[in-house]
Formats: sequence, C-alpha cells, structure tokens
Amino acid sequence: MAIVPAGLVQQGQLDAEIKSAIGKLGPEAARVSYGLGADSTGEPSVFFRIVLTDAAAKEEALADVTGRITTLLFDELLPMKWGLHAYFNFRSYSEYQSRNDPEWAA
Amino acid sequence: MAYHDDLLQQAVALVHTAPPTQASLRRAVSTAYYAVFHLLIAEAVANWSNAALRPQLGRAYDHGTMRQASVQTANKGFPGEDPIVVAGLRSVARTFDELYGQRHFADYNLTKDLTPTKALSQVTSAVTVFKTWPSIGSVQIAQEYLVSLVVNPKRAN
Repeated sequence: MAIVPAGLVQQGQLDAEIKSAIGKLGPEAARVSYGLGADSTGEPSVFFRIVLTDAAAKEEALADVTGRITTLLFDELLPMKWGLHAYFNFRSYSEYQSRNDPEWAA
Repeated sequence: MAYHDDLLQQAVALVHTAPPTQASLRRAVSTAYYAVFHLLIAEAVANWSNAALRPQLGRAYDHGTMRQASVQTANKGFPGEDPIVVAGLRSVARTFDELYGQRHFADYNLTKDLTPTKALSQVTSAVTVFKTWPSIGSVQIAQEYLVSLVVNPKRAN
C-alpha cells in the first residue's frame, strides 16, 4: 500500500505553516513562492522558489543569506514531519526579471 | 590535497566558468555533491585505525542510505546538546539531502534551466559544509551521524 505524505493530505495546514515561515524572512528575500511535487529522484518534495535582491545575490553575501533563509524555512517547517524533502532554489532579482518564467511568477 | 578537497575546488572553478553554460553549471552542482559525499565518507572511515584499508571501507557507503540518515538528522532535535553544534550538524545533513536531489536534477533533468545563482548557491552550501565540519566533527552527535551514514536502519518489524 502506498503511503501518502502528510504534507499532501493536510495541504491546508502545510500551506498555513509555510506562509507563516515565509512571513518571518527578511527583506533580502524579495519574493518567495513554493510548490509541491516529486523531485528528480521521485521523492515527494516542497520546492521553494526564492528571489533574492541583487545585492543579496552577490557572491560575497550569498552563503550567509541563503544559509539564513534555508535554516529559517527548514526549521519552521521540519519537512520530514510532512513526509517531504525540501529544496531551496534561489534566483537573483535580475535573473527573475530577465527569464520571465511562469512557474516563478506564480 | 584530499580527493574531496580537489572536488570542491573543481566545483568552485566550474561555477565561475565564464560565460556560464548549462554544462559548466550542472557539472558544478554535481561535483559539489560528490565533494560533500566523499568528505563525509573520508571523515567516517578515518576512525578505522588501519589507514590502508580505509578506501575499501569507503566502498560500503551507499547514496540512498546516506540520504536517509541525513534526512533523519536534519529533522531531529538534540536536547541538551550545544546549540551551535546542533545547528552545524543539522545544516550539514540538510545540505547533503538537498545536494543529493540537486545533483540528480543537474545530471538528468534537462526540462528546466539551471541558473547561475541556483548553481552558485548549491556550491556555496557545499563550501559551508567544508567550513562547518572541522568545528563539529569530533563531537559525539556528529560521530553518531557518521555511523548512521553507513548503517542501514533495520525495519521496525
């Protein structure tokens, strides 16, 4: 019997927790969206799409900024509780604007 | 220089290739994963006193088991432990889990572009693992993590 991840069964509750976590991020995260689905290995996952300000996306700041954002979102969510892996995909604001990617615009 | 250090250096060089190509960005992410993979194995087998046999022992490590152990550790509480060590260990484990999937994406999934910022963020997260591990690696909970990477948990029943 297949086991359905809690995050897919209780998606309303998961959405609320994710939105609460996103609300705690600083201004360097210019825009954050997320989606649920299978990762490249077939595992159920939550994919965060995080647009950073161009200043925050500069190499000298990137490790610190992405580390803080990732830690906050991960610790608030504890993805295993939902049966999910977590992915944190970052783009600079310039990349976000130039690519005009519908998935990231959602 | 150790093999994992070479791999990390190569990942950093690849992600800075100008102009960036999908090939260089994807190889950078993949190489960053393998740098962390081999770092953790090297740290684990270093506990084996017969140094000549460590490479053979390293062959016992399995990507899937290491991912499973990393997910458990990343999501676990460690009451009573030094919070700085716990944060570092959970960060290492979380990074391994994510790099595992990002490596798979980078190597096989061409349906979406891998952007320079995404690739750089993955490589910098691997660099952070290399910076973090020396300060936590000798602590008992980190040593337990290393053991969990090779021990396939038995089923509950």
